[in-house]
Amino acid sequence: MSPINELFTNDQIDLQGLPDAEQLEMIPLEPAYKTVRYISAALIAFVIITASWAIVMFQPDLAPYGYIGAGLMTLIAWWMVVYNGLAFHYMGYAIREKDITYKSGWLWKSMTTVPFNRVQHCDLRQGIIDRRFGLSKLTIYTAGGQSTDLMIPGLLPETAEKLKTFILRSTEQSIENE
Amino acid sequence: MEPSSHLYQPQRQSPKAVLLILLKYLRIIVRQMWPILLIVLINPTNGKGIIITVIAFGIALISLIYSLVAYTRYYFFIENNELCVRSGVFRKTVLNVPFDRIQSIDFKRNLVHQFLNVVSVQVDTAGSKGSELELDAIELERAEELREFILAYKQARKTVATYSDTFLPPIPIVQETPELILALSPKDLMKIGISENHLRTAAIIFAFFLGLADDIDQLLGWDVYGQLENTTTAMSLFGLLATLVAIPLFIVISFTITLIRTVLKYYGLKFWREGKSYKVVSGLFTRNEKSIQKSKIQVIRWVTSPLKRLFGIYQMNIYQAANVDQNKDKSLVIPGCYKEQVDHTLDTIVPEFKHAVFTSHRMHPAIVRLMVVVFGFIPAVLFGLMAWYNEGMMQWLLTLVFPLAILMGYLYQRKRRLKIDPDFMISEGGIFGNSSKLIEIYKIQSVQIHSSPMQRRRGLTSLHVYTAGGEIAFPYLNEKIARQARDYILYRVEKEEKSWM
Repeated sequence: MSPINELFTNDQIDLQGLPDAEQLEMIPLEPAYKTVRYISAALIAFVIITASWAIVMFQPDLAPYGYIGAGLMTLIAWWMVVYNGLAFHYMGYAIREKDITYKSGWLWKSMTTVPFNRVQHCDLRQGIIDRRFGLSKLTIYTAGGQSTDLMIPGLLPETAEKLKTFILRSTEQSIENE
Repeated sequence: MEPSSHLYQPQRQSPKAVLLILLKYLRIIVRQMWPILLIVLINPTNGKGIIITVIAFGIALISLIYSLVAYTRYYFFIENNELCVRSGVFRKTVLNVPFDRIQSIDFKRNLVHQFLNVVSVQVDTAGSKGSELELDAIELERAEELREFILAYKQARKTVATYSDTFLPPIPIVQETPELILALSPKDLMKIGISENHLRTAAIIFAFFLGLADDIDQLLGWDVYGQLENTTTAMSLFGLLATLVAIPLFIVISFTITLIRTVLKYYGLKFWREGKSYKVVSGLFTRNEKSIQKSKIQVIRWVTSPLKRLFGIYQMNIYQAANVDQNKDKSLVIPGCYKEQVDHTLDTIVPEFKHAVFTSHRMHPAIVRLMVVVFGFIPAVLFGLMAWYNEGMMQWLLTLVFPLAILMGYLYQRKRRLKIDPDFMISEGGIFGNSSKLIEIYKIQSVQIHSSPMQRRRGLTSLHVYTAGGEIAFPYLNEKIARQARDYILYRVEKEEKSWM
């Protein structure tokens, strides 16, 4: 069976002529956010490493498997910290006239697009570490449930506020047109 | 319709609710504590059992009194186009649910409800958690009055919103004659019961007995597991015979339980279309009524298993836009219907579907390798190590998961299809059976594309599209196709003028 290279066989519209989301120019996140990522990953890693070694210390009969397990957990935790930092360079967002896209991931890449006429509401949040670095997180909710909520971290509060206003205005306009 | 003025008056639930509350508590007590009750009945001299029973009944009695007081303090009424409930024993709370936010009003009647001629009213709202409302027992006429009142208001609002004229057009309340799409006869019910998933029931029974053994273990100090181990390791002729009898007996029991469950749950099921909404009524003891407005339908799924295929029946689920966080199943389930009925339903919900011309896309065969490694090879190695370490002959059998994974991976890849038409998208799959999931492209909420390093090496990605009632996820799709699909979906959604709900 030969692979089908076209989406439809009954081409009603010019598929090649559609705006290609792959060509988007991504706007990177604030550099300070990289530090935030390192810190939060390191905190989690610290908890994991401490907990696994504590278990080995207090349960001596687990040896030698305990050591292997704790060693593995340490490696995984370190890897998580490194991955979190590196993945920062692959995060970014882009806004078009009618939708917003967020891209993330270094090895496991992901790209989410939400059309403005499907936005339910937006909110701005600041975590404890975020606040220290003067950063905000913008979340865009759709009716599609948690896994589709588009979350853009590492924004300056002013940028986040501007983005939010723009998105809500676009959403309102697109709904009025309906 | 002239709204009856008494709906505005704060009123209690039907006095019959007291009886229902009593029964509810009795049921909770029995359900929570039946292993204890059983043990106390078997072994009444056990001191620990008596103390536990006394404490449990004390708690039950106090909560019963509390709930009876709560009943007398519970009022509902309509005010400013909101459904209000005033309640609370120590602290007064008022819950206001604006009519605009009400998504659906469903009635539920169990045997007692039917006997007393009352219904339990469940009001579901859009969004925010904890704002859904349940009235335990309302007289049927009053409940219907309430529902009609709220629905009439909503319909009026909709009309006003559509024609934004300065004058209000008269609101015609058209009582459309309901069309019966299908009704399950006892014969159909038997077919459905026979072809249900018996393995699942077997697993539940098994888990249940393990839990029971645990309870007995803790309460009475009988070493159930030890006893079991002794019998199984003895491997005497008697043990072998017992096993030979136990397995078919187990199968017969799970079979019977599924059959009874199906009959109880789906007895006299009727699937109606009433103007712009669909309704399913079913149940022997508990009469359940669920309805979905046509505009809220997001996903339609029809599934068949090898057993179901023998009878030519499908299970159909109709999913509506729902708050996903609420974790409540708000789909309409038709446990069994024939292909013509599936087609007919599709025809009434999405009339354009029959003219759709689909292009099929398959999953890359590399998915088979991934599935075999994750579900076959790795578990087989672990089981093998375990068997080798424990020197358990029977445990070697578990490594059979490896060939099984190869077979299942192969079947999975062979059947998986993503079908696209300019208006529709279908995800097809199934290992032994067949399942199809249909969504209308303009109802899509967002699109995601994922890729792992392995996928990128082969030019593959995973495409996920989400609607308010469910998603279609298709991994290992040709990257070019996935991108085109994404760009097309976005284009289609962004230019769409129809509201998705």
